[in-house]
Amino acid sequence: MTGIGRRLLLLVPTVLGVLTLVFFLVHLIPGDPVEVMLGETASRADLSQLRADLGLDRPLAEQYARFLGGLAQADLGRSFFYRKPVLAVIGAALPATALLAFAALAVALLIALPVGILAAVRRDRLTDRLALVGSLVGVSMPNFWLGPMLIILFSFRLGWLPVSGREGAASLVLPALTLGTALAAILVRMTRASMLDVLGEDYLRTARAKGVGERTVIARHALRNALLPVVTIVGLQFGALLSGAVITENVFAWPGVGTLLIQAITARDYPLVQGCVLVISLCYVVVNFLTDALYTLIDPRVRT
Amino acid sequence: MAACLLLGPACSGSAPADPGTLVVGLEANPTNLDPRLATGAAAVRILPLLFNSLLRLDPAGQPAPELALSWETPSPTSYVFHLRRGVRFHDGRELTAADVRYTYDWMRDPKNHSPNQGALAVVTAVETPDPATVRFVLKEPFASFLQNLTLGIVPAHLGDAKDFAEAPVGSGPFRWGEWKPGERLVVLAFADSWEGRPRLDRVVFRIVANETTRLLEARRGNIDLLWNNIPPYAVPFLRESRSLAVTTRPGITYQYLGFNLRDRTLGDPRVRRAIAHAVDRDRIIGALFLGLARPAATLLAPENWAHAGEVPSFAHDPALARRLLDEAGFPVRPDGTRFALSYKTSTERQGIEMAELVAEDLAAVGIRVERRSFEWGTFYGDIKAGNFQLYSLRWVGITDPDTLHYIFHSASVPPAGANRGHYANVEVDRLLEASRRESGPAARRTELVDAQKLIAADCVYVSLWYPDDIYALASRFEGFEPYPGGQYTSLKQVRAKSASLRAGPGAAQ
Repeated sequence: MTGIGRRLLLLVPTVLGVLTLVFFLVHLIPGDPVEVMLGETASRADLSQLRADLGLDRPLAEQYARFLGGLAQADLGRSFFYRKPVLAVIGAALPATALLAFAALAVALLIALPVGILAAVRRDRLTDRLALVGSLVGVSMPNFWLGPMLIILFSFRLGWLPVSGREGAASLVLPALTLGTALAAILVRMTRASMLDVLGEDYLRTARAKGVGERTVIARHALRNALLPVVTIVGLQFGALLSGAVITENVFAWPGVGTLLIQAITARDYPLVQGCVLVISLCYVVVNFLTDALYTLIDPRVRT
Repeated sequence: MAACLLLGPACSGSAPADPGTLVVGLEANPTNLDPRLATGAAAVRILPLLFNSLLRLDPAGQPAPELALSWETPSPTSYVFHLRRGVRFHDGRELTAADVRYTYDWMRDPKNHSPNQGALAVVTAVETPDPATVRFVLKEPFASFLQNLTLGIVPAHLGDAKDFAEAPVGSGPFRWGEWKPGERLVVLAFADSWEGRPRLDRVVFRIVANETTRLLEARRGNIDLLWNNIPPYAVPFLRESRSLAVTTRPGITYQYLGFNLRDRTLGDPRVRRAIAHAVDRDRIIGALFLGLARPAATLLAPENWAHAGEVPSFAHDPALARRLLDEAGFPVRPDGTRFALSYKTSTERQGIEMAELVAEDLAAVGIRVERRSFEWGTFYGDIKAGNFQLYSLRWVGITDPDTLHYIFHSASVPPAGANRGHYANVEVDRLLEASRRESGPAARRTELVDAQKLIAADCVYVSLWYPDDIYALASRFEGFEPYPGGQYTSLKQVRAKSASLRAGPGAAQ
């Protein structure tokens, strides 16, 4: 079996493990969706009736088996509160989150690669110092603080960008910047360190000795090898990006899966919580899989 | 994106304000806008714009005619309503008694799991002698029955459609426009409304969960109305804006400190009174509400017809509090405290800050308070399960004095009601039951006032305060009126000020 095929197979138990954990965790936290749905005036009989109709009166193991059964048929159940299929509810919110996550990734790469390379090439000079201090600041700023600060500066004081919401490309700028900053900060350090490793290698000296221009040396010979660890970090950090999206979506009134997840937890909407977590963990797992696949493209040695 | 950063204002896309469109900032997503199923406050407050009900609560919280022009009660268990003629649903069909019966029967049917089913348990039948008459038959006399008739009427010919909640059809002053869950809800003026076409063309409800973001949007002029969700600390900030008018007025939301009466320490009324005397309401109102609240002594606000004016109101008196605790057998121990209590709150910021201030006051009389805040669902679950010593919560928009029965009658222990502290007083039970059977408001009032006096004397709750209602409306609009339950009902009469008025400076009231 090829490396990729084996990794693909490994995805199944990973996702299943996450789902099992989430299923039992959401059912174990205190709070009753039935009481929230029927309101305070509901009688005991009404409550137990609804509990039975939703299958919540069954033993947890049986509920779990049903949940897995539904999953096998791509049925995540119905949201208690929207009273619609979970897939439809999430499907409506997913594009917004995907757009935000990829925009943040783009922001992070656009900042991190040039800055990281520049810092490595000008090691120990002012540019390098500034890049390092900047990345320390960037990684230290939590989203719930950075978001409002960017709003106050760019929207409130300068009036350049919308405060919140999702209308037009301009409304994507601040959320993507907020979400992408921490990742950019990590990637700056990673790119710099990785480039420094590569810059000392013999083959670069050889290339230079052959008269290849410095730009070509950096761009063609050094960067390609330096990218490998950077790609790994991007994959690993994608999970952080998704969890950061929950907070960023809240700050910017961005109608994505993060917003939905918070609502679902508050309302104890078990199927919707499970659905949101499934989607988020699937994204994470798939991105990591793609990272591995990308590896083999960048570095032929991994293919064996 | 980079281009946008450089181009600046050109990309921000803020169109000039359209005088016919009003944008409301909501703090939560209305999950379900079918009036038969809606539970969350966000949905319940919007529904009166889309649906009419037999009766509506007026701004004072009293039932007033809406679809029902008049009604009579031939017997204490029978209510007959005469419907307004010529009322049309948004699809053009006429609203008749059959629609009223359909709506109520649907909610009473256990298989539909309506949250209103419990409140309608007193109804045994809904009859329609003719298309303009509806008769409700009750199991037993119930003086507050009219309060249940403010639920929106759904068209019988559409109510069973699978996607009804996606694009509901009612007969209210606004009709369905667009809904992007979690993002925005748009309603459009209904030209054929029996009340006449609303002055606004559209109302956009924008969901902005983050408080800071919501306030900034209002200051930027992107939100025209904030109502129910302005914290007192933000009032000066919003008032700096010339294009917003911030109005505060006495509210009826009641904030209290709840006791668990089954607790050995708190079961002693002297301890409860000591705690009530220890809390410095004026200090907390000043610090937390910037003065925007009125001290409270009973659940029903002074505006309520059944409000009891002269009830024991525990003035701030730490010396008396200490004496009461000594008498109750809780002397000061060597470590300087008498005993410890746990105090639960939700994670809401104001609740946590309030708990800190209350804890300081109680520490001054020797009670050590362990404050614990929980995520809302966990907190509420604990409170309903009686798993607490002290907690603080509020009752929002209480206009029906029968709520006293729901909170203080010994049979109202959860899940039957909200007697979460397990209070039991035979005389209070008797008075509250009698008040339900009374048909005249005068006799009913006497019983309700007496019950409130006993409840206050027993110190079941520490009555804290009634926070003011605060709303901010863009100065270019006028005509908004806050409803006690937080409903957006009055948007049907809101309109843009005429051009000459708009030229003047935005007045902050």
